[in-house]
Amino acid sequence: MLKSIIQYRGRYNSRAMDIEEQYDKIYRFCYYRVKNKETAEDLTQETFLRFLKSPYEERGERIRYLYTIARNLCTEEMRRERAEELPDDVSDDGLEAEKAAEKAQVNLALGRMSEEDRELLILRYMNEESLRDISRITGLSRFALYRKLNRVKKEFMRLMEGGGTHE
Amino acid sequence: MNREIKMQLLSAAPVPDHRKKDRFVRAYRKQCRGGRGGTFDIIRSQMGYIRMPVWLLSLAVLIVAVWGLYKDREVIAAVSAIMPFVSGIAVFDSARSGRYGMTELESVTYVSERGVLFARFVSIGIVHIALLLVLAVIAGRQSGYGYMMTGAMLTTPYLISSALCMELERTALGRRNALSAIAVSAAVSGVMLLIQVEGWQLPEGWQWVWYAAAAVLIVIEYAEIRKTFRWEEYAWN
Repeated sequence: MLKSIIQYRGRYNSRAMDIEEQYDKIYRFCYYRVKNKETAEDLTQETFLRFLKSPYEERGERIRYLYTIARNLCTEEMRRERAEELPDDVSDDGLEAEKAAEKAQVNLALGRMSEEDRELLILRYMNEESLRDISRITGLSRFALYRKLNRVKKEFMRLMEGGGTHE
Repeated sequence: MNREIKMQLLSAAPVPDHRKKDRFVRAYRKQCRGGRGGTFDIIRSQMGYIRMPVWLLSLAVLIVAVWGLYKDREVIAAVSAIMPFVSGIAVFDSARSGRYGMTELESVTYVSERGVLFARFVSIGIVHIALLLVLAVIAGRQSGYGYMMTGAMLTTPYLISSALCMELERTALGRRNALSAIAVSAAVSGVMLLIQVEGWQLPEGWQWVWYAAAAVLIVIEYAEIRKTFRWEEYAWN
């Protein structure tokens, strides 16, 4: 009985069990690329659907696969020039003034960073992916990645302290 | 510092629409199950996990009937006495998830506990319906009552024992004590033996009582099965 449950669960596991964990991560990753909530949601769902149809065999690289698909989809989307220049949630949506200001400041700081730096920041500091996974996603060596992450972090902090603008 | 950066980044990104996300996650999980015909696969998988004593006892009663046919002897008394045990052990095996604390594990799989129970009932039920039909023919040849009457006389103790065992499984005594199902089956079996051995036959023209009893018991069995499913659903909720 247990074996039958595990057999069904095993197949289910490799594709479906992570979705709850990864959906928000992939969504945020897409959002900070395309800067549009609805588009980010669509791209997130498309990412998982493409992953489901892919010939991926479980070998512990699920997350890398997902991010790679999401990256490619975001790149295609941006080429279609459907992304708005400013985030679609520029309005505070009922947030307190302080939080709304911080939100705007973060978006401004991110907007000042290069796409590559922004991606590294999102993957490492927001989604908390491992160096190994980020290295495989971006194609950077671990040493280069480590140095870049330190630089990106300092850059982001400087931009935040400076109100989101270069000094 | 890293945590502060994380919180700043998280606060700046809008939260995805929960309903949209939930709809997608449910649909995605359904797709992940694959297209192998879910219900049939579940039934087939559960059939493999019905324990051997259930099938052995079913086979034993069939062997007794075939032996009677071979030896040209009436075996309806023996077969009708064994039938309560066949149904009793079937109900006992179907309900073992609760007895051995597997319900929580089963309920977190994509196949609900109710689905597992349904699959077990169907897998055992299909075999036992076939068994009863075969027994009605084999034992009916020697019984002198005809095939239909023999079928009714064999189905009646089966259904009585099954209904009582299902009712018992919903009690604390039934769930705690594995022997309670056997005791119920033994009691029904004893009654059937007495009817046959002591010659407590219905008068001429009253044979229709067997048919009526079987029909009523089929309805009761259906009600008991529904109650069992509802019981599992309430337990989960």
